[in-house]
Amino acid sequence: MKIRTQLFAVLVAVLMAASASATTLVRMSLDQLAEASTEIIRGHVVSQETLWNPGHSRIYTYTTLALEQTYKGNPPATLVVQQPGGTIGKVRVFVAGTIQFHPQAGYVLFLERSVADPSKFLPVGMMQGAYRIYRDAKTQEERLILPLGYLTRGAPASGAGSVIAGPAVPVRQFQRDVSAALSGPLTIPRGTAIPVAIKSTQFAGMRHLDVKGRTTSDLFPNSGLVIPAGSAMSGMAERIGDSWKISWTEVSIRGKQVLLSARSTEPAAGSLQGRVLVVSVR
Amino acid sequence: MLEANRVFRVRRKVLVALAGSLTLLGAVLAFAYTTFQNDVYGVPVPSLWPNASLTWVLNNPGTPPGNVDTTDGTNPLPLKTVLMNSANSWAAASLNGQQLTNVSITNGSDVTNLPNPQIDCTNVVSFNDNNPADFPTGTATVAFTTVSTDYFLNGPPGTPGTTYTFTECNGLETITTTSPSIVFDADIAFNPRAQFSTSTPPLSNDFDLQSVATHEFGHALGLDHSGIAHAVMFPAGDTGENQQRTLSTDDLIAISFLYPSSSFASYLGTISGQVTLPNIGGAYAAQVVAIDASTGNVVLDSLANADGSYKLFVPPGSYNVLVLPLARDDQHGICSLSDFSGWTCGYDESAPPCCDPGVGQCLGAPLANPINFTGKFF
Repeated sequence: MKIRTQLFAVLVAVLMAASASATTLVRMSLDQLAEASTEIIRGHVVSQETLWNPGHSRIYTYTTLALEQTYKGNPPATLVVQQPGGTIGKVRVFVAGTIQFHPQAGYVLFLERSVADPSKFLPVGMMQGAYRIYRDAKTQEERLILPLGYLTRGAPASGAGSVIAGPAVPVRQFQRDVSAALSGPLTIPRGTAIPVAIKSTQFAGMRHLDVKGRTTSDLFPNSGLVIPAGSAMSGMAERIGDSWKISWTEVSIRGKQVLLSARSTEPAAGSLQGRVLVVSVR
Repeated sequence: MLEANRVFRVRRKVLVALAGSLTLLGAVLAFAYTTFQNDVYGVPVPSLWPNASLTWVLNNPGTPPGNVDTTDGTNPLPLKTVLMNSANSWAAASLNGQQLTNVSITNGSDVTNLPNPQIDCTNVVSFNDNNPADFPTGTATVAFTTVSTDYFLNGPPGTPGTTYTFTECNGLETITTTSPSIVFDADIAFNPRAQFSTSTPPLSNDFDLQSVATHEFGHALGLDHSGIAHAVMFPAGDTGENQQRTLSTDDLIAISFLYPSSSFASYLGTISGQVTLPNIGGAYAAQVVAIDASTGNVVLDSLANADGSYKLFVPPGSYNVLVLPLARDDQHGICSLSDFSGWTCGYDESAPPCCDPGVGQCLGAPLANPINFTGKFF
């Protein structure tokens, strides 16, 4: 009974301290999580506070973690993860899909630096980007809880008699998986439709223009790739008759240059700049 | 002994009869159907709207959002019509349950800059949330809902029928209700960089607006995520899919649980029990799943209370109950919603049913009955 009382006290403390989790998410594979993150770290929770933003329009919860290990990026020794929602006074704002951090608990986190405040980090894919670490009481092995079970690790094996592991993996195995995900080449599958807005053109010789554009939607072309909205695309336009034939050759995905082959045709009348088109990868 | 992250099940056939007690719902149940809960003096209490008629303001409808395609495909519908269809799917839920009488959408001017939008009691649907902290680029959030709640802090919940008074809406309105935990503001934001369509079927590269909106209205009404892949309240969706337009049994019972009519208890039976872990006690937030014994289909799920107890309200039928305890926390000894990892259990569309014993496809090690199982079946 005493143990239960203590547990419940801890539970209450956690519930009061953390925001809760709802939201429609795109499922992200481990490859996608790794590729979409600017930082992948292991750390433990040090503190947490919930505040109104300066305009008093939003409640955010800020969780501070001490860095223990870096898998990707160049994170500081202490990281602050920002999430919407939380409790201030008696007002509790729920945002489903957010991470409920446990005090002092260890996590492997897939993070993105906030554009609005680069000193803060945002979880990639909300709760999909948080793997809590625990130590198996029997084997003393460190394991990670998969936030969406196998949805983040591909479809499970099926068929009579198939055996699927539980909703957790050893940390060491996970590290290897992350390394493999990070080392794999990025390829854009054939048929991927990329919406792009042409931002600028530059003279590149008789009847030729260098064309620069930005993607306009977040794209998830396959289980290993995320193309964020705003990714830079470049190509060459050639004037043929009354049309511009544009050959798109490269897209920059979070600073990584990825080659592609795609063509589009636009009427020659008027400026290319400002046009929004959809290009299909060949 | 129950090991961490080990999946186990209770292999019992359950004949559910028409039984139940409506008066028990608010006082006893805690995490049934994963609703948003508040801690009322040590008692987790679902948060619900105090009134049965709700309105959402469609922010700035004079400027059609550029990321919603209302012209292409087959039978595309206007934006507002789609949102109304989504809201009405909850209001019209027909499991002899819920008492929501009216959920409506009105056109509004730009309400983005109203003071204190999360606590002003103006419910907003927006497509122009450009706050980079809300929708980081390339991180998969299609839409989200902020659900603002308030709860009674001066003592444990009273007996059913006790009234509670709240002052909300920037301190301008007094709300008197019989629930010690209320929702008083819910704002829905769609990612301005995600592409939506309103046709049937949805365009293959677009998210189906009605599916996403139905999910978000579920949150706005007080529901958290479900672990069942075919449920509207399952958190993940994809482009070109529209199955989340239609409420599943799990969704229907969940909304009826929050907003029950007088016939709710008489229509449904109950399965109850307790999930425990050795040396710890109740397995808080263990996922409990009812599986139709005749079809192997997952019908509904719920989370266990802080003491591991659970109670499922289910339609008449025969069920197997699957319990998915969550990985233990060696530092705190508790499990929480954030460890809701039971979704590995065949809930992906391509996965087999949830380890139904009759199907012969099981997850993990051979499953054993949990210790100290005290289920009661009616």
